[in-house]
Amino acid sequence: MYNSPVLFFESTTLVEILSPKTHFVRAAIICPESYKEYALELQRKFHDTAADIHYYSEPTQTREFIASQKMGVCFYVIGEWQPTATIFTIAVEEGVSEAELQVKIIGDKEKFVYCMKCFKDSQIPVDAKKVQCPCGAHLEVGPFYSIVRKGYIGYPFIPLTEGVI
Amino acid sequence: MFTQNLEFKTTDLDTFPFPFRTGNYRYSNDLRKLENVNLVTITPEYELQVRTKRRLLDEQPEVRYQSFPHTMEMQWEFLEMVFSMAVEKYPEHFELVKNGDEWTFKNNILKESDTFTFGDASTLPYEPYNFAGRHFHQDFVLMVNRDDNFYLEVGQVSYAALFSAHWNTGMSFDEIHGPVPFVSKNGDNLVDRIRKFLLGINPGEPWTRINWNLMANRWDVNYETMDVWEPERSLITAENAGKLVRLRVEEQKFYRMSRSNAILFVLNTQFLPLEDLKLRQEWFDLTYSVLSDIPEPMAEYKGIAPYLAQSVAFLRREDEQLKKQQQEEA
Repeated sequence: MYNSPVLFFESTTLVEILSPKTHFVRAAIICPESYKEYALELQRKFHDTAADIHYYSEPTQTREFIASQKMGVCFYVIGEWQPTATIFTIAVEEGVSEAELQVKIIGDKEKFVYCMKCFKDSQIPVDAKKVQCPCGAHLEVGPFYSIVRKGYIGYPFIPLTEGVI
Repeated sequence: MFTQNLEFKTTDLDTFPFPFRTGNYRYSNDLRKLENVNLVTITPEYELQVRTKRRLLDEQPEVRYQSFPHTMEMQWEFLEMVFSMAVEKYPEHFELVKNGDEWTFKNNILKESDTFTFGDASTLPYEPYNFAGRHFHQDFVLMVNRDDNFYLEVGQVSYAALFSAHWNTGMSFDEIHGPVPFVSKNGDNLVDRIRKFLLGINPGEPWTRINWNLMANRWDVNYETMDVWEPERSLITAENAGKLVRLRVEEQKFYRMSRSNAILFVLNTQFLPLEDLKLRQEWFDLTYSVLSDIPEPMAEYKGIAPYLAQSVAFLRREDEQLKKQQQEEA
């Protein structure tokens, strides 16, 4: 569906520290094997709830893993932005809601601006207020995000030339 | 090439939906039941507005019209509704001949006749919603009801006021109104209240409200052309505001579609240059009073902050001249 959640800079699923969510009967932790320590640390936090670990290496196996989970499972995803975004999308496609997801990004988060001139997304520094789109348009980065356009709104403006009022 | 000009203004003041009842304006849930449920209106500016709307749709198709592929049934429902209303209210201007699924719609004002198969979009030059909407001057936004909210799934918008059908497509009612500093006189969250109100609208019982803004030397202002119109606002002075600044009034109508359960937003936008307010002294006085008392956040949200002071200065000067004239006559 066009309005399915996507992983973006201010997604409600993003957390700095992973912690067990209540009201779930089981946990599924997904991460590349290189971040095994994070998964094991989280697993130790579950006392009365079974917590399985699935190591992500390629999308098909992870899709099968997510699809095989039953109702009542909460998913915890750990990793760098790109593979995590892929896992997030797979989870949503398999019917997982944002309430059933918690995401911990290792490294830098990514942010995209949607150019209102050329209607394309481009990656920008996360703290950028004004950027130039590859199409040449100067954009002021707005605070509003579109899950359809998959970016923050980029309002076009004409920059003032130095020395000219 | 996309162009804007000021050739359009309301000439029949009796049809202008003047927005102010008091000299002090604040946001409120001012919805009321619509008495005349037929949305089709033919004004002296009908042909000019429709032709301009079509030109804008042709020049900026991706900006002005958006739809999702799954909306086709809703689009046919819209076409049937507006064509039926047109024929019912203005049989001298519009005709609809149905021969089974073979329909012919005639617009006698524009001297057009189109035959198509109802339910088969391939027999139309545009999607059904886009085709039907091109016969009427209003903007049309279809909000689909889901999860106690409304989602913009089809939009044909040629009179944007800080809005973009392209950007807002797929957004919920709450997301679209995210930028709005909506607090009522009582401090209530009006977006939430209005959304809940809209949820209760029944088929056959449309509602209406009036929205207003000022527009500086433009037909509309959308996000896509912000680099063009934003600098132009600083060109407004107390001397030229009478001609270049127009009171922009948006008569909004809300219809519950009986088959899809969506809410159709119909937006009839009309303009009156500030200098024309003098044609009705009461309108002049109320507008002068309201504009003199606009809180800064509201002015910022409406996008009128850069030229509000100049507009008020124009009205003040006109008001002083009028009073001086009256004193001399006395």
